[in-house]
Amino acid sequence: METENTMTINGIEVGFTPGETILEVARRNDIHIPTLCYLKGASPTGACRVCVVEVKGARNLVASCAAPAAPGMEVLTESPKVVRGRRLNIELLLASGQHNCLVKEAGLDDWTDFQLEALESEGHKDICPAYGDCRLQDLAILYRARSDRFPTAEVRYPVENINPLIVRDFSRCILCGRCVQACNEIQVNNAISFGYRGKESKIVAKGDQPLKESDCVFCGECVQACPVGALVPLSDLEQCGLREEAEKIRTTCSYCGVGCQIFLHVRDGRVIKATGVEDVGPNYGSLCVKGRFGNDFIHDEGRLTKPLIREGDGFREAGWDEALDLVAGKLGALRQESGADALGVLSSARITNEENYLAQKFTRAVLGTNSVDHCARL
Amino acid sequence: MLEALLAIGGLGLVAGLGLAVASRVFYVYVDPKIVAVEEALPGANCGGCGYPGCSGAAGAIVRGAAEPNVCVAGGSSVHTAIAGLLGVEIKEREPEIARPGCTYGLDSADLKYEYDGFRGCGGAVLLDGGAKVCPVGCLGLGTCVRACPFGALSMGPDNLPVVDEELCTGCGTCERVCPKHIITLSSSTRRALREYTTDQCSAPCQRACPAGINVPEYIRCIGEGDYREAVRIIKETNPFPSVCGRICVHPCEYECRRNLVDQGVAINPLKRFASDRERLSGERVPAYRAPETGRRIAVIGGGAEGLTASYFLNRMGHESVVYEGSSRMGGLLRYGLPRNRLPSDVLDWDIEGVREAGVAFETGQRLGRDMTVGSLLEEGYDAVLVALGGWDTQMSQRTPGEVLKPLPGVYLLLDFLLAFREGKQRVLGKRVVILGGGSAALEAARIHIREDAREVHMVFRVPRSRAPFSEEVLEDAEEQGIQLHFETAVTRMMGRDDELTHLELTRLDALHDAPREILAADTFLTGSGRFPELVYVPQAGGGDVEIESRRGTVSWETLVPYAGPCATEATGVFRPGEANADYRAVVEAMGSGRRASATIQRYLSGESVEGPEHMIRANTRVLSLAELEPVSMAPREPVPVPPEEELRADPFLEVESTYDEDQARREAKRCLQCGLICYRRTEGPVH
Repeated sequence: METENTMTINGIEVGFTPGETILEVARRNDIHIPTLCYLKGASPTGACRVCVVEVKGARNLVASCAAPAAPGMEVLTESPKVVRGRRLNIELLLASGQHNCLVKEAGLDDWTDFQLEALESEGHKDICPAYGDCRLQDLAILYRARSDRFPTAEVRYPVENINPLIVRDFSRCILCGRCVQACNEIQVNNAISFGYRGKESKIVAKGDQPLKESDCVFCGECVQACPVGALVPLSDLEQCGLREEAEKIRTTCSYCGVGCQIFLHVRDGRVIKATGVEDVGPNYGSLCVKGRFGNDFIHDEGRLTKPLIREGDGFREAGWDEALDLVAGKLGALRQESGADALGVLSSARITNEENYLAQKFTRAVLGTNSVDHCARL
Repeated sequence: MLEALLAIGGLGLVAGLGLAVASRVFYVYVDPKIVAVEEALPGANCGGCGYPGCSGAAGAIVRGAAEPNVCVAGGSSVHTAIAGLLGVEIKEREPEIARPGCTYGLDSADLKYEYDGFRGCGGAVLLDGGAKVCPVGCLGLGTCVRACPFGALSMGPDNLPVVDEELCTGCGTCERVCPKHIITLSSSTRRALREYTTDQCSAPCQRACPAGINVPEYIRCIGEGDYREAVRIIKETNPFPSVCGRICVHPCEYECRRNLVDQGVAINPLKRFASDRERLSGERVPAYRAPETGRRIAVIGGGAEGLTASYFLNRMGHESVVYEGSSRMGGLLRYGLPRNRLPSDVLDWDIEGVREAGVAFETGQRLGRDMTVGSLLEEGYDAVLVALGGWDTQMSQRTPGEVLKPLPGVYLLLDFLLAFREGKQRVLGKRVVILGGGSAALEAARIHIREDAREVHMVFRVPRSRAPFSEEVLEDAEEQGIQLHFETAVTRMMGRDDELTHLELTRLDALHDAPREILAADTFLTGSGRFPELVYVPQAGGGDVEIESRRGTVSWETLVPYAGPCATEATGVFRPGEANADYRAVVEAMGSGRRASATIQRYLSGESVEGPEHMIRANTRVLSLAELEPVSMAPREPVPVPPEEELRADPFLEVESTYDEDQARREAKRCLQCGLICYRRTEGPVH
């Protein structure tokens, strides 16, 4: 049986398991095929056609992410025909929106008009915020796609920047469908899908409502999946400009007990954003709204750094000893007065297991009540 | 007996007397210095100096028409001897050597016919250019070998000339006698100035490389284990092998002929392998520097382009200084790339190489704030190269709404309009020229006319019928007083200090012989996204226009570097054609940098600054192959990647690693060592 399930990729004979796609077989054998819309863990859509390869005997180039491997197949992954095909596809994608970065090479007469239009759209004061972190830009540079071959498509839908946390810029959307896959197949929130037809196509949420009116929970899975500058965190728009890459510090999210692995992006001692660590459990790149976006409190001016004691209408800064004495005294007095069950303790998921253990121990053994709970149930 | 003795002796006496008298009467004075110099010369009469033989050269040297080191064949001992005779100092000159330009002999190349005639190239070439199908193939009949006055050439086993590097003097006799111009002189500077032309053999990968690296040669060196030589060859046209080896977009690999059978050779990973060996050994491959010329060049912009240009200018013997506005060198290489693709220490190593070669760095020096083109020229620089990069890099370094004017009188149309619409900017000048820009250009032109500019010109590269406006709009604009120039390119700027005074316009329909129109202008608005790559040079008196000079000011004009091979035609703001520039991938910027340095070198040596004739560009048709005869398949060596756990543990760990030595040697052996149409036809296993 094994001899039957072999094919050649770039002249190398490789085996495969029936059902594997050409892309999977190639990757397993260290043969690199570039992809754009392919999202690991989701079903392939074959939408962008960047991963096309030449299959001997096939009339057209074949999308390797969706085509199953077949016995005796002869595949070339970088033949001149493939490179031409990929370049054309990338050029068409570039022409589909306002990709106003260095790859935009409109002619001398069109360039300024194009940039003016792009910069004067709402929320476009600067170059694309995905600059340097854009798969389409990478591919355009890699395949030396020219963006002046096709006229830029007109913008059909305005930027949606009324949502908290996420900006949706349809003028830069290439309709690759990664966000839809991420939402429906990875997070299974089923908040977004393709809407309309043909050149009117758009990623819609709940009958074409803004995200905040829809079922979206703002987990940001789609933002992490977006290969271009169409879905960007609101905070990124304030971080525009080319600077040395921010430090990425890998840590465990402290919001709850799942232990999601995150990268905190730190620049000049400040956390500027958080992203999920791909390929690692327990979250495999996914995060919830708190883990992804809820990190601006870190540098909040209002954070308490010293104990405060209420005095009249206001607060007074106090030392730890004084504050703890006060709390201990008041708790003791209350217990004397009304019994232990008059007291309750609410602890936080943001502290460690050990600290939570101590909190319940303190509640049960010291205070003498079972009324102890935890904010992760909120 | 006696009579005969007397007769002969008397005859001899008479003849002797006659000669003695004649030598007195018809005496011609010969400078003993000429005689002495001629004796010091090698006497090969090779003609490499450009004079008719050694006596001609001796005369020229003594007259002062030629330098004492004019003899290319003699070498430094001859030069010192001559200089000693004349009592002058000699300037060192760059050594040159002959290089055969064909690598496949008659046995391995495709032939049109069997040649069995006169054993000389001059005769063989008359028969349809020689027996080889390749129009630039060596005929293998040894005319150059026989012509070499120094015995430095011999015929190799494959009927190709072999140069003895010890004996070759670089006289150039072989170059002159070769009827196909295949064997040529080569030197470090010549190789840095080289462009591939249709008159020479080149492989598809070489032609595809925007930096013009001699790819097959360095891969051959890696295959033979000479890794330092491979690095030296790469650095002849690219000073950033470690950077390029990681992030290059390798257009060469897409053009590789192996793609027709299996997969392209891993050209870029091999470059990375060779350069990493150099980097990890800590010992840099030394780069040849031509003798000091005493010229000083300022390069503005410390990105890939500026650094490359300064590196080559330095290697050509000039003193080059790079001015960078930010605090660190590297430009987009430092700010636009993730560190797991290009670690900072690798970037620093390559940049340090440029500094170690002798280039001076001035960081924190912003054009327009800390110095200007005018102030640099005044300081005594022989040329100022501006390599500022694209619009997007400018955008990232300032607050929106600010109008940049880094160059005298030059503005970005986009900047001006954005600032004007926000009310932050008034009109710019009195005599305004606007190039390109569509309806935005018209808007800017109307603003200036309305605000009392004396003259507003709009320049279009297309004819009136193809202008981006309707005839009514054009007529309306003309009525308002806007002057329109169609099928015209802006080709030169002239000015004084930090003021623009004149622009040169050239009609495109008769590019070469049209009279060039000079316009007085103080403001130039460009619709292109790229600040033009330009060279500012001091204007020598007697130019096309007399710029009124003031005390203590420098008048200047601009030169435009010629377009690289990626350009479909000669492109750029100041070049005819479209305004696209090749600067998106780092290797393209490096190519532009090297071409800018070549332009300056040509200018300084008084040559034309155009690119070489028959230079291969994107649309040039080059003889090549669409399919290969069967060559044995060999899988491409996979690039090693670190284990997934390590990648997860460290987000800045490089996502790819370097080949080990065995892998590199195996991969290098996959190279077909292509020429124009020749290639290594391997049968049986490759390794």
